[in-house]
Amino acid sequence: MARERRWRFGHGEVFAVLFALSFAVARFLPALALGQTCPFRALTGLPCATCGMTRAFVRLAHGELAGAVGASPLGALLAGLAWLFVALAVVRAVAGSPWPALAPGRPRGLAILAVGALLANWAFLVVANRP
Amino acid sequence: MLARCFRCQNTFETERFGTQTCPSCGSEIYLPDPSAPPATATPPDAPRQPTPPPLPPPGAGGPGWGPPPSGWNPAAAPPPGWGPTPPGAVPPAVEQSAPFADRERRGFFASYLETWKLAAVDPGRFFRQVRVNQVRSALLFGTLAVTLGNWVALVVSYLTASATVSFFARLTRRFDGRVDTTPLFQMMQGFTLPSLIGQLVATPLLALLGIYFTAGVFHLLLLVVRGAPRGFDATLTVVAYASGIFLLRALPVCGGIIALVWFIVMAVHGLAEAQRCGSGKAAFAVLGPLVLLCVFACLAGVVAGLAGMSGLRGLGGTAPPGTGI
Repeated sequence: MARERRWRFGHGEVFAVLFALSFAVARFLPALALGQTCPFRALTGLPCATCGMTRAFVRLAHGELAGAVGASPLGALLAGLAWLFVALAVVRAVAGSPWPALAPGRPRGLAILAVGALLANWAFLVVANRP
Repeated sequence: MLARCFRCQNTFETERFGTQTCPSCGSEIYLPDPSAPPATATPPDAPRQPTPPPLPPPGAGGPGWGPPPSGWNPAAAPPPGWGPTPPGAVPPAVEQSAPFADRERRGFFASYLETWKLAAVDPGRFFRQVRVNQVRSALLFGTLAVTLGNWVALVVSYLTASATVSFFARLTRRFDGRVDTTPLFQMMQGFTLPSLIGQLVATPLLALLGIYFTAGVFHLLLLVVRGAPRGFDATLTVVAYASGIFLLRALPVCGGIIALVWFIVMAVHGLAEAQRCGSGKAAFAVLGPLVLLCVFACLAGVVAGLAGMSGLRGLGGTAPPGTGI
C-alpha cells in the first residue's frame, strides 16, 4: 500500500523561504555596501542587541566563520541554524515526513534560551566594541 | 471524547468527565457528565410537584409564560453579526470569520473595507471574536495593505526626492555644517528609477515575510511569559490584520508614524484578546524590545557617566569604527 503524503505549505515552509532568502541576499547581493547606520548606535555610541547581524550573515555566507563570530556570535549561530533549517525543510518536503513535534513546555524553554542568548550577545558586543 | 477549553478554545482528548486541566493553557475546566442526575434533583421524601399541563400542539403558541410585559418588542431582525454593538452590551465570545474571509459572498472591496474598519476602530472586539484558523485570508489582507501603502510611499518619495535634497541643502547651509546630512544626500541620490522599480517589485514578498517575522518575534516573547495558549496562528492572525493599518503609509509625511503607533495599539489589544492572555503579557510582547532598548540605553548612560566620573574611559565615549549593521 502506497504511503499517503500529506505535505502542505505551512508556517515552517514560509520561514524556510525567509531563511533561504537571507542566504541569497547575504551571498549574492552587496548587503554591506548599503551603508545603513544603526540608529541606536548613532544615538548612544553603543551597539544594539542586533548590531553585527548583517555582517555575520554575509561573512558566514562567504565561508568566513571567524569573521562572522567576531561580528556577532549570535548572528553567526542564527545564520547557521536558519540555513540548517532550510536544508531540513527541503529534506522533509522530499521525504514527505512531518515536522518533529515539540514536547509541551519545550517551546517556552527555547524562547527563554533565545532571549537569554540575545542579551548575552548584546553584553558581548558592548564589551568587545568598547573604545 | 473531544473536549474544548472555554479559555483558549483548543480541543483535546479526554476519557473522563469532571474537573481537569487543559493541556494547552493549563486552565482548570469542568466537563459535566450528561448522564449524571441533575444537581437539583428532588429528594425521595419531598412532596411531589403537580404535573405541568401538556404542551400545546406546534404552532399554537408557547406553553404559557404569560403575556409579554408592556413596552416589549420582538426583535425585527436577526442578530447583527459584525454590526455595531448596542451601548453597554457585552459582545458574545462566539468566534466568527472576519468579513474579508467571507469575501466571495460579501464582495472583495466591501469585505476588505469592513474588515479594515473593524480591526482599526474596534480591535478589542474584532480580535476577541475573529477566527484564528483562517490565516491565509489574514495574510492576504495584511500583505495587500502593506504593499499598497508602501507603493504609494515609495512613489511619493521618488517624486519628491529632489525637493527633499534641496530642502536639506538649505538646512545644512543654515546650520553652517553643524548637522551632517551626507548620509541623507547619499540615500536620496541613490533613489533612482531602477531602484524604485526593484523596491516596488520586491514589496509584496517583503510585506509577507515582514508579517511573518514580526509575528515570530511577538510569539517568541509571548512564549516566554506563557501568553500564547492559542498557538502561532492566533499571533499571525493578529499581526496580519493589524498590518492593515499600514495602508495609512499612503498618506504623505505623517502616514508612516501614525500607522506605526496605531499598529502597536492594535497589536497589544489584538494579542490580548486573540491569545486570551491579558493586556500585560501582550504589551510585553509588543513593547518589550523597545522598553528593553530604552532601559539598556539608560543603564549604558549611567555606566558611562560613572566611568567618566572615576576617570576611566567611558564605554560610551566615542563611537567605534564601523556602522554597526
